[in-house]
Amino acid sequence: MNKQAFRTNSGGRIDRDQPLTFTFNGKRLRGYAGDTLSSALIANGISIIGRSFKYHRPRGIMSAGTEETNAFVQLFGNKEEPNVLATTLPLYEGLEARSVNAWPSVNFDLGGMTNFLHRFFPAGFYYKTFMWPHDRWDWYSWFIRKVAGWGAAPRKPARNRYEHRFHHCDVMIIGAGPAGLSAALAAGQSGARVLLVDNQSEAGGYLLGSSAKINSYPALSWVSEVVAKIDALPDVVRLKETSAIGYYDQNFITALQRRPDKIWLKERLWKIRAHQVILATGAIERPITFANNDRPGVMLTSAASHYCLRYGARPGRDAVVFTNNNGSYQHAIDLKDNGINIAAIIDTRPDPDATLVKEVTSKGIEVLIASQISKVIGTRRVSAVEVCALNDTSGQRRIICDLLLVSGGWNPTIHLHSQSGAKPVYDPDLATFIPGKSVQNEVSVGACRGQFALSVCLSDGLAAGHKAAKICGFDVEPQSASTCTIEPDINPMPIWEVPLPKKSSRAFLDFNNDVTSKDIRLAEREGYRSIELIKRYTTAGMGIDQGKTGNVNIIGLMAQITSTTPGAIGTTTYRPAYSPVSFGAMAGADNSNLIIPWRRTPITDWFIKNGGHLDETGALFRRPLFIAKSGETADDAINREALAVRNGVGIYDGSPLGKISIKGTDAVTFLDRVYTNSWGELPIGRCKFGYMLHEDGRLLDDGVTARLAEDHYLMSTGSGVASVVQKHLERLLHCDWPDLDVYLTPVTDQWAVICVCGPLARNVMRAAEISIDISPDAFKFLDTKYCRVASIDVRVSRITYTGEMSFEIVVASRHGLELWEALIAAGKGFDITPVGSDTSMLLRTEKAFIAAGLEGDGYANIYDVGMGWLVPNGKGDFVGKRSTTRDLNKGGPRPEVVGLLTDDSSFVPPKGTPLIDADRNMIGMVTIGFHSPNIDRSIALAQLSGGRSRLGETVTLFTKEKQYFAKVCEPVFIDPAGLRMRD
Amino acid sequence: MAGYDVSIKALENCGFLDLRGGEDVRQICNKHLNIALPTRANKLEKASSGAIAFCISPNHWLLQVADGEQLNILQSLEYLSASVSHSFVDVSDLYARIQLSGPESREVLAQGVSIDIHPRVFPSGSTARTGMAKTTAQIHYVNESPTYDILVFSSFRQHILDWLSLAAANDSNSLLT
Amino acid sequence: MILIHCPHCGDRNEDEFEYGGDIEHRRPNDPDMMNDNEWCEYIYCVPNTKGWAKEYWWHIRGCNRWILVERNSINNELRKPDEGSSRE
Repeated sequence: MNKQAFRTNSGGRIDRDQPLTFTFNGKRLRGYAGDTLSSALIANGISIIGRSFKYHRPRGIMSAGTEETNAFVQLFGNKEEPNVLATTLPLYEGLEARSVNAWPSVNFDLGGMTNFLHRFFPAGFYYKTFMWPHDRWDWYSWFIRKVAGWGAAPRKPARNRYEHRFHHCDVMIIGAGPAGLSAALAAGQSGARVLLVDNQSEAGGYLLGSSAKINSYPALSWVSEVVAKIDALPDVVRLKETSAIGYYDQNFITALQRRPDKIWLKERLWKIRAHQVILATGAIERPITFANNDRPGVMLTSAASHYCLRYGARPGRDAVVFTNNNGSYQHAIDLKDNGINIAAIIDTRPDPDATLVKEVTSKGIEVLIASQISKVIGTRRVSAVEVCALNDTSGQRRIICDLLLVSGGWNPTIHLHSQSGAKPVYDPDLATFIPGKSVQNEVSVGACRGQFALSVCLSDGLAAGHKAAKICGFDVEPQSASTCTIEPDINPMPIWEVPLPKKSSRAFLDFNNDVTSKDIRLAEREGYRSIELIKRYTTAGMGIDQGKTGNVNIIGLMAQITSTTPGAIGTTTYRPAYSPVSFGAMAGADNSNLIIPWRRTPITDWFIKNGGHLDETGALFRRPLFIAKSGETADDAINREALAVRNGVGIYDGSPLGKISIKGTDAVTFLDRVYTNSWGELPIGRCKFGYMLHEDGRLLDDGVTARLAEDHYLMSTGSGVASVVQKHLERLLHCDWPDLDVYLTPVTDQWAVICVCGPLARNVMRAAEISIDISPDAFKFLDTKYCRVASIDVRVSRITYTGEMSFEIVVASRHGLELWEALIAAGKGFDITPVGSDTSMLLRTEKAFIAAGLEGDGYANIYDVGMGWLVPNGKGDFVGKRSTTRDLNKGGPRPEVVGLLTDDSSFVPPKGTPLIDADRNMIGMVTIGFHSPNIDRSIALAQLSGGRSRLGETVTLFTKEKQYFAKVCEPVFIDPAGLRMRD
Repeated sequence: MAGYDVSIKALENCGFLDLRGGEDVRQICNKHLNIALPTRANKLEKASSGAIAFCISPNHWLLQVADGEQLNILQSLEYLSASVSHSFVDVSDLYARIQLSGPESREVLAQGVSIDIHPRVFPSGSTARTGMAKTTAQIHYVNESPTYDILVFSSFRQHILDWLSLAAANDSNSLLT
Repeated sequence: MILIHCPHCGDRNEDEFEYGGDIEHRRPNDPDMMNDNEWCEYIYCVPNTKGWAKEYWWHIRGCNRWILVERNSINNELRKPDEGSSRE
């Protein structure tokens, strides 16, 4: 086992008494509790973490946080997961990680040949190449899949749980750095409900890697003091390792919590509604664009300081600092104090802050002003840099180093502010974008509004926390702000691209997607101006890191090329998620069979036990398609069930039918207005078939409504459209006819519905001891009566969905199963056959009962489907009436419903089969086809242009294999006179 | 005990009546049931008989009574309200009752209910009709043990039981089928 | 997930509601008096306002009322409408 050669002897926030073992690319390594994977790799001197996306260049760790653009790994073992950020992953015992995007290995990578072929992979290369010959795409895609892409999806289902959690608070604070902690303390002490989230494993933010002092003590003692106070407040929730990832309307914020309080919980997605939001998300240091700026060993200055001070891990031994701002000087001093030799500070500015220069010089650090790095030497690790005067590549000087620290200025983390709908604005003094005018109840404080001085962060947070709580009604004056030394402004000099030494040199802007400054220049030459298009054409900012470090440099370079300002170029749109989210977290508890709620009728469990093949058939109900006996195929079962209904007796669970109670003195008026037919003369105890239209004349629903009492009707609707019908009716009642005395109550689940149908149905009802006379004269078609069946209180109606004599029994749900079993028992002697919904569909096709969505689709009106008889002459207004009186024949013959009998009686035309004329014009289509066991041949229904006038003609059915012919017929295949159901 | 510390159980049927109508109907019900039907949505009133009236909206109540009493009450109310605009419907089998109780009930409930159930704004005795796990639920915070009674449409009963079990479990595979 | 203020239930998430259309798009009182063009205009030219619009939303997972909401379709900003529910 290697010793940790790059670990400091003491210091940092790691627990040196708790060593941990882990493996990286198969190599066993050691780290400490408190490390991240990246700090442990640095302590072990590992410099290549992975290969880049397109050119497979070796890449190392560049940052110490969520902005990381290179260091993604694949986890193995029982925590298998792709594309994990090494910089935010806490080290644990037994961690197993591998590089992504390296084939076959990170040190010997075949894909690296693309690096030498880079002139063939320019911006937009996949829009330019792979386009021809078109039949070679399969070959290209094999190669692309092999060399491109990142980690691999895990092969095993996740054992651990993911969950969602809704949360509400008065004040939400995002970021637990100096500004966020101050805000949380002020808001929390006022008594407001506060939520503080932070994406690190401990609070402190920037201070965790800094030597700053607050109230003359190390800043981290201030942090632990404030955290203790915050945690003691009863209505403050503080979440660590929690990234706010999305900012939506009305202060709805999502946050992803990793490794929550429960050991069996992997991640929790918080869905937060906050009254006031304080963004204290800090700032991200940006790199500088120069030749080979992506080599392992090139790192952000603040990150090096963070690794050294927080983790006691030195990213190198001899460092050169390349900067354009005052912020890097303190970092150089901190690193020097922690045992890293600083060979030189290369500052692009001619006039850096004199005090700072004096301070570092006194520490023995050389400062080169108005200078630049022209080139990095070393492929697998920085070995030296070449330095020259700014914009003048003559007179190179080589400095030996193994670490190049860069700082191109600081970008406030304005992602959430921008997601909230606000527009960021460009600040020329800071050479970056800062928050613009808020459009929601949010405010940015500290570094994320461009105020980098610690003193300002502290006072900013305190004031914002107080103000936000006050708006929520909690006005308690906060204690005065803590004090600290005043630092100089960072005063950056905008530098968007250092002149490249050679034409072939490459300087990277988006490391994650391998986008270079040359790609941006090429896109500009090809005519791209909009930053949104440049992003999509070059893929800059579209990687896993979403351009957290690169985007502003891209905007700046584009401004420089086109001689305008970055403010005039503007930013691309910031969208959720701020950092990657696992699918598990998105699904939460809605996994496996809970993704869609399964509704059950009282009979559902009986079907599960008795061979029912269940499926969702509308309105989330899970119903049997058919009920197979052992050894039966689906077709066998459907044929057997269909024959039983026509020749014996079947029993069907109709409970999913939508049911709406309609009560009130204006119930008849209401029914007259929503159905095409008239309801005035319907006596109590009778049912009527109704046809309901959309206002545009389309079929909305058809069904039977029963009159139960003077002012009480019960409407049944198709199960799939129950909620649509309810919405339609409620809307009319509430918004258009508020004067009607009508109340609607949806009662679908109150009643189970069992249909006994077939020529022997009456025998079964008698065997089940129905308490009323059901002889044909005493209990007629469309009668409905309260009575008892098998000693259970029920209401029985003579209505049918199959065309056979039927008894529809409506019973309170709690007695549904009991009644079903009683009827099965009573029907035993008549071979009563349970029937599924596929069979039911076959039976209705034999009778050509119109189905909404099939024959009654978005084109068909009531006349097209042959139901014009349901529009009585002279009836007043009803919904859809005006549309049926429009001149609908302007567009030529109407698509009318007809039956089809294929010449080849064994060919069942699939739903959607086109009907064509001699010129191969489409003149219609099949809406449904079945093999009918009752007439032992195929039958189909179709919409056919002018179909009613084509009865007896032959039409052509077009399929991919061959053409079939069918005779057009009346769309009723069994009992055209309808005598059976009236029997 | 694995998972969250809660218990989930289906409760016995109750009688339920869906009551609609204006102030006159409310007065008739108040007198007959010896209860004051609340006038604001998401409020409830308990009668000494144990009956609970949930206000769904200002002219709409859900009355929970002991099972078996609903039909007599329905008939009496129909008789008393013959001359005024009203709708009374027996919905005893429309609703199923599920009880969630135990120290971590709120953690489980907050996985599926988007309204604020912090005791500051939803103290014991509160009720709300809201969405839960993709359906509608009438949530009743019964006592601070804490115990929540949840009314859902009866066809969703098993779904909500399964959903709560998974939300409380320590293993995502416990319900895989 | 916009937050809709229901006059009966308070602030609730959008997924408790169903959108019910622009309130200006009212069913005409006497459709039979309209010619085909006028009728088609009503049926097929449904308002899709850019900016502030008054809308119906149905609180199906709550009080079951149709409520009025004023929403800015550009940025989903909401404000309380000046009139209450059409049907009390």
